[in-house]
Amino acid sequence: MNKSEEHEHQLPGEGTYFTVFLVLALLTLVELLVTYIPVIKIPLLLALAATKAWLVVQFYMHLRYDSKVFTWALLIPVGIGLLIMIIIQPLATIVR
Amino acid sequence: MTEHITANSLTEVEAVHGVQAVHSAETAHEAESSTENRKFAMWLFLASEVMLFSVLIAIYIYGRLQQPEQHAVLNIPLTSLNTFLLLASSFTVVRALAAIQINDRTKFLRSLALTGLLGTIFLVIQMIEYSNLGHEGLTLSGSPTDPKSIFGMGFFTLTAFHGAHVFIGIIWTARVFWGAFNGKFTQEDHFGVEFYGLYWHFVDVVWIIIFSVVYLI
Repeated sequence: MNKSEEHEHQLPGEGTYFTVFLVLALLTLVELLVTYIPVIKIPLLLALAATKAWLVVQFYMHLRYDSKVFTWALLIPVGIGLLIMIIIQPLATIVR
Repeated sequence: MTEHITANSLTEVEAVHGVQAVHSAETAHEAESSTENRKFAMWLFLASEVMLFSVLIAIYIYGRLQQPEQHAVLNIPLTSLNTFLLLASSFTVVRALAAIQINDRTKFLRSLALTGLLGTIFLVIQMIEYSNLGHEGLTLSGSPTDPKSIFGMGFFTLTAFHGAHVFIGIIWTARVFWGAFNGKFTQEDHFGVEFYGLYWHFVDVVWIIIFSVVYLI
């Protein structure tokens, strides 16, 4: 059995995919409920969004079953992107 | 003499089989490397997309901080429906992949058609949302230095750029569907479906972030 075939056998079936979809839908409902909470709303919503995104990447994009190089190819730009989001705010104020 | 010739022939046959086995292993290895390389290329492309969307989200956050009151015009129930549609479309893509892996062509084609339909409904709802926001006075127009236009500019640039990605995804879905309809993908060879799926799921991931950062927070 070559590596490609091993990868195919490791991939989850429709049952796992459907379970992930149900969890994603449930987390979306939780997000909507969280909007009514007056405190710690933003960290909770960010954590829920990150969890949902991670589930899609891990199970639907098969990052869980692929080379770790692919994980780094995603995590490094995400880290830089977060830095951009933070740095651009004071910079934009200065430029204006 | 005859025994010697037969022994020689057997050795030659074994050698030919050995060469064929090595050649077959090399071909399989090359095919696997090619698949992994193409997948890595797609991840690098998605990495560049992460950077692009990060900048657009950063611009939106800036506009939001300047004009927090503008957020009240956004329609959460409508976009929640869109979120469910896009999540469902990601499920139909992996359902299509699972179907071709077990050679269930009917389910494969139906799942792809459903993906295209869900993506199209998503865009139609986004157009309705834009139309409603236009009536509320939220538009893209105006100078970037005008504080009144910053929120609208950040919002429409980000969400429309995502919408354009959904549109490209729908075209790609139609292409994969057409290929599938003509028997292009098989149980053994369906990398094209997985490759297309990576793009579609990425568009879903970006929407998950946009839904939270733009609409819910």
